[in-house]
Amino acid sequence: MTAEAVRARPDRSDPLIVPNSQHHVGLSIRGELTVLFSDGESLSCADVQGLSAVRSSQEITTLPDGRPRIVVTRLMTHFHSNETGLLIQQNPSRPNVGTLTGLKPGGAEALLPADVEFQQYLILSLRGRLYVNLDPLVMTATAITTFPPVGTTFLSQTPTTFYDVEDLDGGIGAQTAGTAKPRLALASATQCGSHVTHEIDMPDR
Amino acid sequence: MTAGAVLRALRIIAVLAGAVLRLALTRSRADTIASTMPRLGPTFLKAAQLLSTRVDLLPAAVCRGLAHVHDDLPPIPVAAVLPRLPRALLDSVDGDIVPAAAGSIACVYRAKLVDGRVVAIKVRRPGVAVVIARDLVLVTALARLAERFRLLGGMPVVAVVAELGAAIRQQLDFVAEVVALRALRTNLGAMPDVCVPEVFGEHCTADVIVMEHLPLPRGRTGGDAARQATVAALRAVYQMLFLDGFVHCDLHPGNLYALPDGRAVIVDAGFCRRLTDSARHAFATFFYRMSRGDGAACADVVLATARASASADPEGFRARMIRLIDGGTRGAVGEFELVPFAVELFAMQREHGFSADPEFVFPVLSLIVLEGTLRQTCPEVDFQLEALPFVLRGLMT
Repeated sequence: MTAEAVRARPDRSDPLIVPNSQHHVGLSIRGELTVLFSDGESLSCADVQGLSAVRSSQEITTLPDGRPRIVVTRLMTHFHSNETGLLIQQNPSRPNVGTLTGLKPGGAEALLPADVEFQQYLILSLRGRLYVNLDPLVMTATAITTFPPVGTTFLSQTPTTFYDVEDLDGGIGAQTAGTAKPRLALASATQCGSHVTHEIDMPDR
Repeated sequence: MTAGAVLRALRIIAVLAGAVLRLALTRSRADTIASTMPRLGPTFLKAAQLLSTRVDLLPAAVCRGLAHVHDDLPPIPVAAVLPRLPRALLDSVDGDIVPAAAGSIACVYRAKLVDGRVVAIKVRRPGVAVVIARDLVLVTALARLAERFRLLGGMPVVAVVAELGAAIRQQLDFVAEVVALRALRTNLGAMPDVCVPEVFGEHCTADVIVMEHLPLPRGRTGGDAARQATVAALRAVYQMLFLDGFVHCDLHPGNLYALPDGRAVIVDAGFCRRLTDSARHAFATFFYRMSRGDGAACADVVLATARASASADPEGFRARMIRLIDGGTRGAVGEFELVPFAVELFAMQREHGFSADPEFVFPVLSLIVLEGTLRQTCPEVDFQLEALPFVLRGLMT
């Protein structure tokens, strides 16, 4: 990397970088991510790694207490586990959005440090079947100081059930289960999260 | 009403009057309840034990008092028991029959068979069915009076007594208990840390259950073994609730033992409930929604199962449920306490004009019975986290 490139790298701790920005990051699972099946079988997916891309809105809203908030959208999610064959991707038919909320009142200059929450709708591919969640998988990180929050672990503290796409009227676009029962669940006996390991440089052109 | 029934009614009224007087003088509610119930006989003793978990019906202080009622009675002498045992069993016994435990409904004896098996022989107390039947008739009549004159507020006393009566009669039914023991043993067979004694059906009768004798410790097992066994029992209850739909509702310390190797022994299947599949699924859904902090969805589950009165206020109930779930799930791991949560849940239903479906009440009660033991031996256990795999599988099946 040249000296010019280093100089050109933006300051990721500057809150003014948040509005209208886009980043790609590498992620790895921290904790015990387990896939539970209806027959009691469970798969431990300790080796899950992946990529994610996020874009933040340009528009800042202000909460009643004066804190700034901005909508963040997941553009891409891709995780895989070599050991189990599990593939996790974003469900393109559902919104995958979240919020970044500054901890202190203010405008764009108060967007960091912030709490971030994503509500994710995913497609799991496992053993030749596709599964989708109808309740969002909620991932949160608190008091992040950089954006993207490299070194931060997004935690999911609740379980999420997944339905076989073939059981759902509407396939991957289904929003209600109807008479279908969930076929597997993502859960953890401990707090589990995806750790942002590094930012991936994506040239503009 | 026969003269015997009248005398029995007078005796009950006299004991209750004495208890009321003692309550007024001592204000020691728990002691008074604990000492009064055994004097009233097996019906009241069992009713007290069953009511001790009914936080959906009674104030928590009364439940705590009832929880001190124990039915530790002298056993029927072996000589008096022998004529009640089947001939084939007596012919198979090698050595003495020894008293092991005695309760208000049955006594348990230990014996060795000629084939080397050591068995526990549970024998129903003679005449107990007649006493209970007579008492239930009296109590039902009193309940009608209490409900008619609203002596206990708006409590549906007749329905509660009918429910208790059914539960007590179930404990008299040894044929049903054999079926229940076998079902529990089959259902929990894949859990290596949980033991349910094997029933030897060839020696059982309507008054006698012969089962595998498990070497239960004389005193309470402590330390890691007790902790391991209690968690195993908790998981067994979750298996019953969320997956099997067949629930042992009476896992108080007298029916649950920890072996020194950390296994849990479950005995006395006299009070079990079979849930409908829809109730089992609704219960799993409630826990799943609770684990996600989704109070509105929890309210939907309860409202779909509860009975509504003319003055029912579903929106008020929903708003309170959202606050309850938010408060109950926001705390740190292990801070969730089931009893206050259940008390609030049932109180909310009453106050907003709903009465809980018994199908929803009994699963909660089975957990409440176990919670006391759990809090004593392993207070750090997180109810919700332990439930999670069973809840999720319950949703999927």
